[in-house]
Amino acid sequence: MTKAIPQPKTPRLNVTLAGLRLRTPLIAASGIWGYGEEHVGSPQIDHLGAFVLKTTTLHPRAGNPPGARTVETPAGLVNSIGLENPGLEAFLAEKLPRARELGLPLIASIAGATVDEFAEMAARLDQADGIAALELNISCPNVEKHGMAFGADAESAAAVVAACRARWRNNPLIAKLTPNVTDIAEIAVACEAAGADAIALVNTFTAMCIDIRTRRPRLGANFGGLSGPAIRPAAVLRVYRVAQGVKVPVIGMGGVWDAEDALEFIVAGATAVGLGTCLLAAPEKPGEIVRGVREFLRRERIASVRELIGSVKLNSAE
Amino acid sequence: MEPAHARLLCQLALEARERGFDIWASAAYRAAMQRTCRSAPRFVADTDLDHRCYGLLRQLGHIGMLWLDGSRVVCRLEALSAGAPSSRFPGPERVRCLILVDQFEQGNALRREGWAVMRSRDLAAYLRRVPIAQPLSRAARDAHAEVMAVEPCGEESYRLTLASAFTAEAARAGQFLLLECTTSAERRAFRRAKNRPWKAHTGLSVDPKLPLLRRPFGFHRFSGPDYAPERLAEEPPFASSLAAVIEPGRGATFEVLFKVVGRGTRALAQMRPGEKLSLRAPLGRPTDIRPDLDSAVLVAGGMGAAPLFALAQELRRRGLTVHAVLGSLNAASAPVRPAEFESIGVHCVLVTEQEDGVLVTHYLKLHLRQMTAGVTEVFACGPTAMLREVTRIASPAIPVQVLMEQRMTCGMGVCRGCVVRMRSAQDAPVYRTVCRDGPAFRAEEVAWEELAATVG
Repeated sequence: MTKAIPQPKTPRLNVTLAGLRLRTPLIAASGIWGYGEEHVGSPQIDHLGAFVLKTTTLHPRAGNPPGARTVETPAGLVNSIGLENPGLEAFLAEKLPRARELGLPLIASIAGATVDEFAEMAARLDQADGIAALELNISCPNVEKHGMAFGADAESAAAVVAACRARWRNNPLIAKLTPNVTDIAEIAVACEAAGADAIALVNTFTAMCIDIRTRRPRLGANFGGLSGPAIRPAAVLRVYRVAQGVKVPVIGMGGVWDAEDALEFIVAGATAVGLGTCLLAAPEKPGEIVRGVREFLRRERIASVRELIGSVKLNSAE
Repeated sequence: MEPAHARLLCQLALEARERGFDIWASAAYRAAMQRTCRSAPRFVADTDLDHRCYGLLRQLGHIGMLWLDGSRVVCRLEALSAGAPSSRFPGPERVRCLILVDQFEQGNALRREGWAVMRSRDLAAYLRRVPIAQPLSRAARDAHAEVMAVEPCGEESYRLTLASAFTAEAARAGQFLLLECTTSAERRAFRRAKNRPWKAHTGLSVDPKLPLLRRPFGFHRFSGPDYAPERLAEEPPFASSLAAVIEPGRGATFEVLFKVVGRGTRALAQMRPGEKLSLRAPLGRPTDIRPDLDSAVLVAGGMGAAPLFALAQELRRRGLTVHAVLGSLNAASAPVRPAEFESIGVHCVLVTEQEDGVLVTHYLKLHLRQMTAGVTEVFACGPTAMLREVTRIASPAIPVQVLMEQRMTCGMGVCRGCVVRMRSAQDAPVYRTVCRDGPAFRAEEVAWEELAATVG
């Protein structure tokens, strides 16, 4: 009789996010890969756990006037696209059916100018098939509050979440927060109390680039949002603070470029990690990161990535 | 010509094109086609049927000429370039090029040259054995290219020769690539610094000194037997004689031209031969070349000459008369010398602002009429103000296509970063992306008044 040699098990990467089963903790963040139609059949899709579709508004939006809409900065990218999208009708009729061919859990992302607009879109999407979760992009300006972002104060953030919760009944509801606030944990707690099943953060940091020769901003729209590796440490802190403050799972993102970066967010408290700017630089990143995470878990003899979620140990303060 | 038969052949050609074949027919047919279609303005033919034929031809895009009144189809074998005669039709996966001819003798002549010949009624069944593998424009792919040479040309401009077989073969005139601009030495140095991150996690995932994203560059020059200057310079153009029709042979190398404007292009200028760069290509829509075109006028401002050279190669390969007007500050700063255009049979003139004291648009205004013959089109690439002026001069008498430039991020039309405003009936602006809907746009569709306000 031959003795069975114990085989080292492949570390497990699957996680559960508010009831949503993800085969890997990697999520394509909103906007970067649009509505996914260009990526149907791409091998990189197999390495993702979910796909957040580009933010849709109730009515079509043309976006900001041209001139530069993106500017590269040291280890970062400043953009001001202006939520260019075909509107909810076209989203439901054209974009969503094609995105379903991706074969991934789809997370729809919506933005509204008023709380009612958010609620109306949530109700319409509740009737649609094939949306695994709904993400509220509350970084957009609130028309009723002088254009201040919904996510900039706890009260209006909670109002949006509560209004959508009442109409989006079955699947998880995710609030995506802007980092441009004094205390992001306070806003996350308010969203959780209003019924959010998960918190996603961070959106871009507001930013500006100036051409000193012409004395003009480099972006056509003057101001934009910074993403990419430049913001990662700032994003990790916010993910840590939010994960400490809420009981619901957290989706961490901000400048993830390789496996170590993704793991850093997970250790800080994120259940899943969003990939954004890196997908623009190198579309093969998901595969690379999955291999890197698996390699790390094997070396550290960790059976599942779930063991690492929120495993950060603070140094004892003096 | 029997309309029913003509329609069948058009359909066959479309099917063949969808399967990635190149399709050719003789200049004689082209003349016949023009006679038929010119009878009504803008190529609306006498009968409805013929009009539909023309619609199909337009969809084919790539076709220079197509012979419709015949019943024979000739196919060229990739492996038979040495000329071994064969009477048997090969498996479709080996076929690269179809030629449609009408006369038995021509079919026989081609057969003696090593082409396989089949009747058109058998072609439909034959084609359906081949899956539609390649769309009209090949899907972009990530590839690695080797730097063959970097040479200065003009002021602060460089010519980069890259080798990547897939990219060179798949790219069409007007398309572009996204190129990584870090040297392998820089990448190696960074990897060393980052060394085994799980043992000593440095937290550095990118080098902040290196360019983060890939940069877009238009294809400047294709290589290969079909693009050799001697061949393109032939008069009358080689493509017009049926015996000389060959599959569009491409070499494995291609060139891009660039000007040093930032850290990405600065790094690229310091590349050494042998460096391996990652790239994504072909991106963008190939420039639309109408199948009925007789001549073309290219108008370039500064670096705009770079992509127009590739277009000139393609136009010459199809046997068109091509004029080029290049504009630059002075002769030394012209990135492409007129002699290079002349070497491929293009009538070229360089207009310099400092030495001639005129702009390229002034020259165009005076001489455009003399440069055009038959069905013609203007292709322009350069600063936005120049493109607008070219449009004002030529349009609507002569159709204009403009190759636009815009700061670009994803290259796939997803991030909506590189948009250009189009004319529209509604109040809401309509934007199209340079990277996916362009880089070439029909000038009458561009909202020039709006562009003037936003682009410098």
